[in-house]
Amino acid sequence: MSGQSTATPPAVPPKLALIALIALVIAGLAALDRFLANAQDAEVRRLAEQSYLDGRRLRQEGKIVEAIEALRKAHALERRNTEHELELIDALIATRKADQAQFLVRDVLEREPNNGRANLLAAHLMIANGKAADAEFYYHRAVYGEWRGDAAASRVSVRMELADFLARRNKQQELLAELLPLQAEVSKNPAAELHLARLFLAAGSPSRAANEFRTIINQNATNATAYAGLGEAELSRGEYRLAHEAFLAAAAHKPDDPSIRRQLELSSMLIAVDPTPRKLTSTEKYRRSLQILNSARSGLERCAAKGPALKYDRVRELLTSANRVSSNKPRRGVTNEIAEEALSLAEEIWQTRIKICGEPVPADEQALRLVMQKLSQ
Amino acid sequence: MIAKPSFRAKLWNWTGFANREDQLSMLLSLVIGVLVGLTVVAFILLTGRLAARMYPPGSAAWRRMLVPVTGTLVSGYLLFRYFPNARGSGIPQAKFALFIQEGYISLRTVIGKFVCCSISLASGIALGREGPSVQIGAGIASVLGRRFGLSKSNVKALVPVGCSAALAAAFNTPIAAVLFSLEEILGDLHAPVLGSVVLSSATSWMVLHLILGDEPLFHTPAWQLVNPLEFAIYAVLGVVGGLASVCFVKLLLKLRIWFRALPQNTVWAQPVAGGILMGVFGLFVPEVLGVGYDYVDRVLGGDFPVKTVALLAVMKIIATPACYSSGNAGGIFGPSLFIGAMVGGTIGSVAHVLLPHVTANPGAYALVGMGAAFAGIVRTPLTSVIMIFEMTRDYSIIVPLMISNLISFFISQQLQREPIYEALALQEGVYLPTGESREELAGIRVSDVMQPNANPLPLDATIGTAKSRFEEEKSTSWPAGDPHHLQGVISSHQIETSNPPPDTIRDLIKADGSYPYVHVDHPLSYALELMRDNAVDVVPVVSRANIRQMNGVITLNGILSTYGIGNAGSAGKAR
Repeated sequence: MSGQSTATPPAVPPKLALIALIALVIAGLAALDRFLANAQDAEVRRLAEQSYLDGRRLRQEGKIVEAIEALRKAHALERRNTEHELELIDALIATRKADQAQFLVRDVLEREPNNGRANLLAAHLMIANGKAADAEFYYHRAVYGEWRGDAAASRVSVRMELADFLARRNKQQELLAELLPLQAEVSKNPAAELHLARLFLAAGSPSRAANEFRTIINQNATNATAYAGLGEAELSRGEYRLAHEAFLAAAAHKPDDPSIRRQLELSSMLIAVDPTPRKLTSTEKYRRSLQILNSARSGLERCAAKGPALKYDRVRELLTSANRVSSNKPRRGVTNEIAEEALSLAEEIWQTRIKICGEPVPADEQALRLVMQKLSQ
Repeated sequence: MIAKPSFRAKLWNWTGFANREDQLSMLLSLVIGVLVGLTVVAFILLTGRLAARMYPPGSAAWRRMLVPVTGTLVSGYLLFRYFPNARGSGIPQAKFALFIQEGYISLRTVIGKFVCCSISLASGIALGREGPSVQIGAGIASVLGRRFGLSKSNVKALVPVGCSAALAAAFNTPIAAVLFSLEEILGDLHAPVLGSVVLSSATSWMVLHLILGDEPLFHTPAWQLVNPLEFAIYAVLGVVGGLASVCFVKLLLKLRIWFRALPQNTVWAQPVAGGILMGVFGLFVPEVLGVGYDYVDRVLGGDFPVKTVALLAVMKIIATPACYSSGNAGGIFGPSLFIGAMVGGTIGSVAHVLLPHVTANPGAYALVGMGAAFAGIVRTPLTSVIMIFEMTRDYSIIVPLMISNLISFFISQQLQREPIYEALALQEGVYLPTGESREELAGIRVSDVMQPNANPLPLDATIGTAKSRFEEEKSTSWPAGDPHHLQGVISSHQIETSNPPPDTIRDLIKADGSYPYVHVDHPLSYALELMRDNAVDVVPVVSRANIRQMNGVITLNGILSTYGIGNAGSAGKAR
């Protein structure tokens, strides 16, 4: 038995108290850390919100540099707040700090690729950087992106902005594609309807534009702008009389508007020179055709005088032909065919003029342009 | 009667921890990771909360003068009176503990470092929190190791584990933390504690993320190379970063010598000198106060006036050495990143003005500048590259980063021979082994000293023949067997002590067939260890593919001759 009592004693157990103490310290530290982190988060959020509101206020007051500083502070304090970041990006784009805005936009889009406003700002940024194709891409993403608050209204607004952008770039087909879905969306907003109607004109769809203007006039018969727009649409359609009536109505509601008066004069001139109305005598049609031919010839001469165009044989040939037609009276009486020949020559001269000097044409050639447009239809 | 073991003792034995310290150390690495992570997070948050209280938004300018002075006065007194070992950065102190004090760091030092650094850093002095965190982490590891009754060697092994956990939490870069512990603290990238270091770093990082979320320390822009010409600008950045690093280190060391020469009874007040300088600087340029990570973030975003950035770089190069040398508690890790960002931002801005179409946003240069300054000041090029890589998570930045870092490292190495932490230790009269010195020591390999044409003694050789060979080779031992089938190493000591006396040397071969050996690529130090452990002065050099294939021998005399010491002396001295 004594031999057994001298056997190796069991290994010394660890101090359980030490383990308990460590567990207690860990729990205590975790609680302290959580408390401190929560307190810090709350304070940081409060400071960030304050800076954000300051930034917005300063921006509204036109103090853009100070606004950016405040918004930057808000963003630095609360990096994950997308709203603060987007406001900063907007302000940076407004001050043409595109390179700084670009990093932030990329950051937001990485985090929230479907954020509607971020995509819209990316489109703005692309426009500022001269990347129109990319801008179009981001506009489309913005239209179909996620929006806070009234998402439908935001989407309409972005689509309208995209339409304006396409109109500026003269992309008529794409513009029309954007305008058609907007028709139903803007039906209760007269200002938007008016804008839409104008965009239809820019998209080369004067009939739709005229319909839109008429809808607006039906809702408010005193809307001079709508009448003027309708007049423009009818001019584009070649309906000069209808256009004149619309301009008269516009002038009645806005008699002092010089642009409406100019349009009125233009429509009068077009009615007087238009060679296409039915029941027009051959002599009158021929007279109008010659008037158009002479205008076209003068236009080409003026255009050719500005550059080396006169040395081209074709230009000289066309001018000679025009002179010959103008000066030689038909021997066997005036016929519809002779008038048509004069008009064809006028059209050819016009095309050459456009080819040499391009568009847009000067104001005094607007009537000729519209007539030619109608003839080409 | 047998004393019945208690349940606790049974459990302890069952887990195997009673006899296996290594397992306990590994488990402690996890605990250290959690504890250090929580402590460092508390340290970061507490310092931030204190700083926010000291400098509330829109506070008066006088605060910027008064707070640093008061803060350094309070922390200076506490350091002098209660916590003398908590002074300084924390990284040299952790290395002292590791290499000199058998891994000992007292709990008082840990508490002192936490309290004093919280006060001094919150008061706005230009020092960082990472160095102190490292000492706190190392201290917690040391305390835990001792309290659990680990052996001194295991306590010592826990020090880098604590360092790594602290750095991972303080800097949110777990891989760089592991590398830093190996590259700077241990000075050995092949250290056997790698597993524990990684474990604690990962654990601590997880704790950080659980509490503070996935928010990086710096928000860096996506880097892109605009034009290959930028590589040249990054090289220039490396040169400027290296020169700035040298200025910083030299100024810090000079100022420290100057402060150390002051009378001992002024030690408690010396930190105030740093506080006064910070107050004056802060009065005119508030951005210089504190470690300045907020401003670094702005510079990385590319938003800054270049004159301010250049001015801040210069001011920080002056302010941090002054604060550190005067005896304040805080590190130089953070300030070195600040200086790098400012230098990089300045170079990037100038380059962007001169060559706008071929250069990226100046923020990208600030980012690379951080790595360059870190590599130049702390002299851990690998850590600096990985650290910036971890911050950006952008692989494409690696090449310019390596260019700048290596140039900065090279320039710093040429103009300031001693790395900063070793130079600081030398001022204390302590020689710490550096990574570089280890490399130098390990530079001589077995292959440099090996005698390639040595033949082993045949197994049937008589004892007389063996003794003749010993005399001939001026050694006390020699390999035995066939050159293609080595059997062992016999020594004169074996011959003398063998009972009954052997007839041939076959009788001296160990039954288990084991014998000491080295390979050609082993360091000499390893060969010396083998000689000591096996009481021989000759070790066979064998093939890595077949340890029975002898390629030569390495002798003690040969090793000593290599170091220019001459003959080792007569037989038996190896013992």
